[in-house]
Amino acid sequence: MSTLVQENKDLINLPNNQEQDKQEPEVSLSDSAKVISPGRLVLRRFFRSKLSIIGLITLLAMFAFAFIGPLISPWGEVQMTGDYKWVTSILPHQIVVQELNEETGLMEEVTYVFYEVSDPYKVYAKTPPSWDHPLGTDQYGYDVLTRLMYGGRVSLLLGFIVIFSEVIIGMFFGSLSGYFGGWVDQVIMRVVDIFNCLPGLPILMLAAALIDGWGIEPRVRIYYLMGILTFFGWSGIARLVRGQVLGIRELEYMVAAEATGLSTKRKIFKHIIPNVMPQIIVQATLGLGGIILSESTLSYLGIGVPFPYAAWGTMISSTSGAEGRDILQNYPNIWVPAGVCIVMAVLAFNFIGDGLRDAFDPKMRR
Amino acid sequence: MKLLEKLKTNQEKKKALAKHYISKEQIKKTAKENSRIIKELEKQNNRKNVPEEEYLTEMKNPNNVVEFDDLHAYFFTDAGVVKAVDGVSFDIPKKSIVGVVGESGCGKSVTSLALMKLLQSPTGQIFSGEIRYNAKNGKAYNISKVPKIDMNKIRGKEMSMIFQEPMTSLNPVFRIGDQLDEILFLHFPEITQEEAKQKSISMLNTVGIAMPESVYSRYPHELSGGMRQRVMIAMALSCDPNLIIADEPTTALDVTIQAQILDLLRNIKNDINGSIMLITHDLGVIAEMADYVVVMYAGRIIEKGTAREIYKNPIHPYTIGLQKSIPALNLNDETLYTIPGTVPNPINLPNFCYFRDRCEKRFGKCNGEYPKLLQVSPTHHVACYLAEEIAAEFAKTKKDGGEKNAKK
Amino acid sequence: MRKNNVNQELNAIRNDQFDSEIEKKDILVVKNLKKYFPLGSNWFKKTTSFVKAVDDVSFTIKKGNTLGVVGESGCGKTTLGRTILRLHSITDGQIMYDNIDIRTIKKRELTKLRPKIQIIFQDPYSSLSPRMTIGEIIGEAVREHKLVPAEEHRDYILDIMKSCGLPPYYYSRYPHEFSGGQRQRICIARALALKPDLIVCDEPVSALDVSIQAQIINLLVDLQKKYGLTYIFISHDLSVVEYISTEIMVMYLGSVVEQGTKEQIFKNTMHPYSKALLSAVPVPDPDVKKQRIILKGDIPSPANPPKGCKFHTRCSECMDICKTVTPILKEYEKGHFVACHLYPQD
Repeated sequence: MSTLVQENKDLINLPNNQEQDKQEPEVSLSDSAKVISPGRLVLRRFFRSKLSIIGLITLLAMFAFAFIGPLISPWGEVQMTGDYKWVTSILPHQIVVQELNEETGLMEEVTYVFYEVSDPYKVYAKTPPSWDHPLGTDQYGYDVLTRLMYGGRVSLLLGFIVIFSEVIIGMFFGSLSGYFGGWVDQVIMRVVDIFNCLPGLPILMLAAALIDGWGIEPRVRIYYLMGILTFFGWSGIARLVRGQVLGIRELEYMVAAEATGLSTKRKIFKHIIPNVMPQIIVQATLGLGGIILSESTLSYLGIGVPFPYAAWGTMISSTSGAEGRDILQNYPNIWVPAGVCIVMAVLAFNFIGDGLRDAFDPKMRR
Repeated sequence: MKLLEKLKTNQEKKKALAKHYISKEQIKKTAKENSRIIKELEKQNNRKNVPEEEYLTEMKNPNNVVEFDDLHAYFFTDAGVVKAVDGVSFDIPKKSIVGVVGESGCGKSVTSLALMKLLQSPTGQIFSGEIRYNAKNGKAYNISKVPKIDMNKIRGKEMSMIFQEPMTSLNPVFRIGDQLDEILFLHFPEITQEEAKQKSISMLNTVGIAMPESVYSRYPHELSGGMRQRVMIAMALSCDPNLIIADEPTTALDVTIQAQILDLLRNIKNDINGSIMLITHDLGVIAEMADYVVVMYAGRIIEKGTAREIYKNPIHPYTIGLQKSIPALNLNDETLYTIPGTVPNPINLPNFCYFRDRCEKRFGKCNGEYPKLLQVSPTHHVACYLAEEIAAEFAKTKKDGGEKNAKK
Repeated sequence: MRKNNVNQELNAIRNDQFDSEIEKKDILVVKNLKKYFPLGSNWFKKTTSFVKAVDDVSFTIKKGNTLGVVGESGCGKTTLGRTILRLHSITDGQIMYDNIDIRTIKKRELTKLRPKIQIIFQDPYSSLSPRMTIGEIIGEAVREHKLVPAEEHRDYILDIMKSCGLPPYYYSRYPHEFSGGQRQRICIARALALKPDLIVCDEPVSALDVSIQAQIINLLVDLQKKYGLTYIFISHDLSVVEYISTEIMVMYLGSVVEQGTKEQIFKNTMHPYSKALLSAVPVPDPDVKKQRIILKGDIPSPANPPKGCKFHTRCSECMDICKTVTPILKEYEKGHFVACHLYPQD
């Protein structure tokens, strides 16, 4: 049998055929072999879909906007625009202003503590769009465009970190549960069930209120938020992975792996995990949109990323509160862009997720 | 200097690659071209209210149920056009079983799907050629021109299909009876519930189901594979079709059940007075069932004739090789004959005989263009240069015979 | 040079084993093997009913021989094959491989024994992991068991690939590029790379085209001659089994109904079920119109097999005794066993 291929090659080169061969040196497939891995095939199919390319471009643009934009923008995240004087930052009851020191003739940062923003430090709040402020300023005199960029940083980074940790935890418990079955499966799946029956939003609000109560510093609070979102989000991934593993475990290559005497570690990491990855990647991409939404919701409710840090949800929440009605009616430039950003980010993730799903499983598309 | 050399080798490599892989530009180009052709063909297909005259034709021989005439069925994929069926012509005479054999991917299923107009659109299309169908009412339709809507009248009532997988071809959420009745209601709108039930039960009886009343009210999952295939046959029979297309009807069944089903199909053919187009890869099944055999390879017919001619006097090396490579019962203990190599890539098929590179008997002529289908007896046709002599001889005797007749 | 060394070494090992035993020895002895799958259970976790997938099966295979196992779907032939590899736990009975009891062997020793008994599957599409290259698939377990030194690994794999008719450039390819026949060759190479003695072939050619089928069968026969392999060849296709086997076992609903050498089974068929199976095979000759025995009805569910002789519901020669008394598998010629009441049971 081993000679079969040999024979076949000999057979192909007929005497009459050789003339043709001379004109065009025959390149055998083995010489020009280009290895096409399944991953490359998937990418090729992914880039064939227009929608997924749109999603990808939107996402890349948003990343550039959020991470490179602030470097270019002349304004800071919490920089106020005031009359004659530059206000560099504002916290409740405290304002940092750049003032001319008359003795040295230099500009200096001066911190004032005050109770009310009064005339000398009048800030340009709620200005309409202009060259200086393409999207105008909000009620505190912050540049809306710049804050959008900073808000994007928070949302995207938070989304990615949360989904990454969710995938790791979910994959660990899911593959454990699916591969070993028995009581391990029972215990893990019952825990997952419990997580699934917890009402998401109320629990998140409770947790956020708790963090508020502990008086945690605003800068650290975002990490707590990530932790909470992960804690309540991993169960979905675990369930998905378990289902996939159960299916793969029955496939014949797994039986073959068992028959060849491979170690359990190798079976899980070399045979199961790479074959579950496609579904996880799709699920994670689609999940990213959801996480951005819940982060925005929490920020809107005032329990997410705290003021003065920018987040898209916080920016929309300017429509609530004392000045809310006024802003909602008369200053759409303050809250509409943030909403558009959220919609765009979620849509982009969904497009990419759908594109990936079709690329991984071309049979599903019809 | 080194850099130049490197560049050169790189370029050569690229050229070598280009020979075996398609570039992105090419893919784009073919995709564009394909979508243009598909759009045109689909437009033809999706027309409504087409006058019947447009697709009426005449049969070349009124004793045929179906005549395939130079049928081309293509799949327009981004990698290129897959010529799944490329110039196939054969007839299905009345009251006969025609077997179509070939390996997977040879186009045997596509031929039958083209006949039913069930090719997976939009990529799969009948590109050219005629399929003439002799209907029960005496009219002859050119199936390739019948629009999708009008095809519904022909499908099921005139011809029906039995599929390979009895496990998936019944809808699991409906009772067997409901599925049988549904077809009757569809094609005979005036039928009452009671009549439909009676007819369905009698159909189940015909296909040899022991307790038709109880099977009538059962769900598909309660039946075994053989029983489901019987139900499928009952469904195919329920509108008294002229032609039954059986696409690998027994491949998924056990040997003893296969024997039952084949027996049933043979009896049914006599009952309905119709024809059966039997598609399978199993030469044994064909030998037992078929009157006429069509052997396909890479989308073309390479040999066709009566079953006796194909099995007793095969001419094409592929037919011979196929028959030799089955480990038939009661053979002596030599090594099995094998046809070397594999079926060629269906995209960009060569312009010489597709079987050349696997053929043992090839000679100089085989480098020429694809051999024509030569007639070697009144019913036997072969597409091979080896048959030229026999064909010439036959043509001569035919001519002589013709002259003699003329003289008389 | 190194490649040759490996090959010689490999052949030397095999020839040693093969030549030193002039009298072929029993490589696998199976005694009263039972494999029951639990079906239903009540509230207190006590299994109430079983599917008797393999019910009291005994046989021995000599080194270098091929045992063909024939039967229809649901007769337990696949379960039998997998139980021999202890991919399923064993309910009862004994499997002795080279005087090692596979049933009682410890897990660590079982892992060491694994390479010796290999399996090839029916579906060449689901039996290769799609995300590994061919080289990885074949070489993975070789590396795990340290069968060849690390520096010779690649050459060894290429050598195995060559003997299975796979060109070397396949090494870094992925399975999705190959057709069914090529994939089946890869599966065979994977099994062969572990230097096994016994290969369980679970319908290895059923999913393949006729011309490819012949190629794979020939490959299996060649490899058997070259390496002195022993096969258990499971198939529903009698003609393939006849071609490749030296001994044949016919199974029906988990039990053996007839067992003997190839000649005994095909020339002197005794059990009515074997007769029906033989006559059901279509013959590729339009002139042969066989007197066909067409069995009534379907195969009963293995969860609820008929009482007495399991075959009596479909048997054309059913007698009263068949409905109540289970026939014993009895030897009528040397090595020819039949379980049927048509023949004297005492």
